[in-house]
Amino acid sequence: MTTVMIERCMTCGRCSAACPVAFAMDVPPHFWAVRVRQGEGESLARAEAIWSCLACFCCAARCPRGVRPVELAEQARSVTLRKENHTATFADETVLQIISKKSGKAIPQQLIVAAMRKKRA
Amino acid sequence: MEFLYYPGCTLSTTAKILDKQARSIAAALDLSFTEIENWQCCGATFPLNADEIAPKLAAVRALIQARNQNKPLVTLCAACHHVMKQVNHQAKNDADFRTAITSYDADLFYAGEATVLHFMEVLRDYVGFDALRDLLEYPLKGRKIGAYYGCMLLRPSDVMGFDDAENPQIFEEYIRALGAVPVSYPMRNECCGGYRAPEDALGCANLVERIAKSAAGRGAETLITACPLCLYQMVEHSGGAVDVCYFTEILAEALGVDDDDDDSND
Repeated sequence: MTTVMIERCMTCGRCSAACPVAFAMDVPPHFWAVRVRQGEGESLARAEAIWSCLACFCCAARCPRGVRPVELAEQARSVTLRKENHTATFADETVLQIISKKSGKAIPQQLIVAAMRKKRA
Repeated sequence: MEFLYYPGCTLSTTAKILDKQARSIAAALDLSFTEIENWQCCGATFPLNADEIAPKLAAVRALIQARNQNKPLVTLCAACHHVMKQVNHQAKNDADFRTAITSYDADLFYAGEATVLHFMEVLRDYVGFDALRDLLEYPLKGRKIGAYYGCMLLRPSDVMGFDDAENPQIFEEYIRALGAVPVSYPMRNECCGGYRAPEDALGCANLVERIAKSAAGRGAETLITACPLCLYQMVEHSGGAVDVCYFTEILAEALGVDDDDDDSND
């Protein structure tokens, strides 16, 4: 179940046109609602695209039908994380990778917190 | 006018300069900023799953303090601003969320009564850009400055209420008030790619480089931002196409409250 109004999507592609990283996605945003609507939410949860989403909300801002693909990406990430029973370790590893980089000291805390949140189920 | 100030994690560490400039400006403009007691990190992202309640409680606690003290809650960081306004909006409009937060902690009764403001909104709505112009010691004559909004200040616009998400003007009006020339460029409300930076620094480098070149191509010498993550991305990855600083820096300079002792973020 999702809070996103997936039935309203008409696959017009404005979200994908707006998305700054759609060009690099295996499944671009304008297919997300359709996937879920057709009962293929599992395939969306396995797509690399949901991890590429920047959560910048521009897909939602440009949608003429009030669909919010950005929320589907996060919900699909949670499905994966919860199913695979990822624990805090997975998130902590990501954070460790960030702060162990050469420029780690300059990295803003908001990025570290966000990276941890992103991978916590 | 009295405000409750929520600095957040980044302004207490890597973006201390933003905190310092904001406090100096507030003092110069007779705005009373009281730092919120025992604040907790807002979480930097607003959880988009309906069943995630606990990650929003830090924001709820801050908002309750603001309501109880009857002062607007002011933030500087784009992420804090985003999370506080999103949580406030949900508390106001979602009865299930209100019930859930009280289930976590019986002391937490909250229905979105507080007012959340970004510092830029305080400057526009409480000080006024016209009044600000009259207070300047050193107007920034002839400087060409571009606004870099990024994503979190503007979107979703019905919740943020900051400005038109597609054609924002607030930063441009601010730059104009300071005596400089605002440089408009197409990519000013594009995302810096920060959320993906840990996994894919190169892809993000490409995003900020395009934004910086878009601004430089229109003649911007400096970009201003309210977001420590946008600033970091720009400094690390934009290839030096344009200088970038916090929006407070140019006001501190124009007011003559710039301490001038360092430009670092330490």
